[in-house]
Amino acid sequence: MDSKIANEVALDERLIIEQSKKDPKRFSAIYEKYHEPIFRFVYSRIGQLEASKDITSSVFYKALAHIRKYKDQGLSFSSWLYRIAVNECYDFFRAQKKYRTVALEDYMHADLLDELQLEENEKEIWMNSLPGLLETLEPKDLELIELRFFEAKSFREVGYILGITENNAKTRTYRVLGRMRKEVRNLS
Amino acid sequence: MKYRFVKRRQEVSTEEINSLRDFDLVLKGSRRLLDIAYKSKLLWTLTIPVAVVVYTLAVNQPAVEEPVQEEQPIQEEVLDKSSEQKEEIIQEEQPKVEEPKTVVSTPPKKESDRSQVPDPLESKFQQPAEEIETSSELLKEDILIKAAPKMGFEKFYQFIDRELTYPELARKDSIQGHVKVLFSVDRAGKVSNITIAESLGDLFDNEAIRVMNRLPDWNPATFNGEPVSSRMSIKLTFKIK
Repeated sequence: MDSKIANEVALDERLIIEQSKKDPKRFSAIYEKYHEPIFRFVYSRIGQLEASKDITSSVFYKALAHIRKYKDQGLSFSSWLYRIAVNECYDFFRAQKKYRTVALEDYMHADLLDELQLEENEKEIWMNSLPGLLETLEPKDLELIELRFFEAKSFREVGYILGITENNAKTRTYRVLGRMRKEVRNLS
Repeated sequence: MKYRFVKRRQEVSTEEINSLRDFDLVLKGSRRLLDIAYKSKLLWTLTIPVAVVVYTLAVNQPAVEEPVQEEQPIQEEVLDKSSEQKEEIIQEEQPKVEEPKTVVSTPPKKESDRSQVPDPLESKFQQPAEEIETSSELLKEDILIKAAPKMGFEKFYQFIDRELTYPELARKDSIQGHVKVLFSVDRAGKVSNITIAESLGDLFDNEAIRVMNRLPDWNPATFNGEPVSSRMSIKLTFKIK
C-alpha cells in the first residue's frame, strides 16, 4: 500500500475509534473491515466454526467495551484485535480443555522454507517430521512463527500481539528457526 | 499445550464467514461487559463509604466506652479477654480466607475478569494442568501417534536400568544427576542421531550414548496412519548405589 493511502486509512481508523467511544454503533466499520481476518486467525487455531464464531464475536465486543483504554502505538488497530484474539483462543483452550489446531500444510509456506534455508532433500524430511518437530515448540514460539510467516506481521506487531518486545520477538523467532533447522539436519 | 495436527484445515469461504457476522451481538456483548464493570464500580463506591463509617465508629468506640470501663472494671477484663480471643481467631482464620484468593488467579478467568484486556500474554500460554481431551474425541487421521519402544515402555525402562552403569571413574567425585539425550526414530523404527542435550560430563555422556546405541527397534511415530520420522528425548539418571 502506498504510504499516503496507508496514512489516510490510519487517520480514518483513528476517527472511527474516536467516534466509537461516543457512539458504539460507529464501531461497525471496524467490525466489517476486520471480521474476516480475525475470524480466519481464530479459526486456524480453533478449527471449529461455531466456537470460532463465538470467540471472534467476543474479540470485538471486548475491544468495543474497552475502546477507551486503547492506546494508539502507531500500529494498526487490528494489532490490538489480534492481541485480544490470541488471549481469547488460549482462554478457550484452557477452559474447554481443547487442542490447538495446527495445519501442517501452512508450514510448507515458501517464506518459511526460505528462512529455514533447507536443501531440496531436506524439505521432504521437514514435511514428514513436522508433527514431531512442532510438538516440541512452546505455544508462544509456535505463535511467533505463525504470526510472522502466515500472517506476515512485522516483528513490532508480533511483539505487541504476544506481549513481548520487538527485539525479543525477533531473537526468539530466529532462535526457533535455528533449532528447527538443526533438528531437520539431524534427521537427514 | 497439546496440538491437533491436521494436514490442511477445512476451507471456509468469505461468504460463509460473512454470514456469521452479527454486529448486534457485539453491541450486546459490549453493553453486558460495561454493565458488569459499572455494577462492580457502583458496589465499590457504596462499599468504601460504608467501610469508612464502620472504621470511624470502631476507632471512636474506646473513647465512648472508657467511662463504662472505669465503672465496671470486672466487665472490662472479661471484654478484653473476649476481644483477645476474637483477635486470635481472626488471625487463625486469615490464612484460610486468603487461600482461595491465590487459587483464583490460576483457573480460567471469568468473563468479567477477562474483560481487563489486553493483559500481557504470559499467563495465557500456561499449560492446562489436566489432560486436555481424550484421544477418542479426535479423528484418528488428525493425530500424531508418538514413537514408542516395540517392547513397551515398562520393559524399555527395565532395559535402561539393566544396561546403564555408573562410570567407576566418576565414583570418587560422587557425581549424580542426569544426561538428557535426543534421538531420532526413523520411519523404519531405527534409533539414530543420538545427541546429548544436557551433559553430565564425558564419562556419563559416553555411557548414555553406549546404552542408546543398543536400544532395540521402536514403532515409528505415525501421522495419518503413515510412519513419520520423529525426534525424541529421554533423561538417563545416574545415581551412586
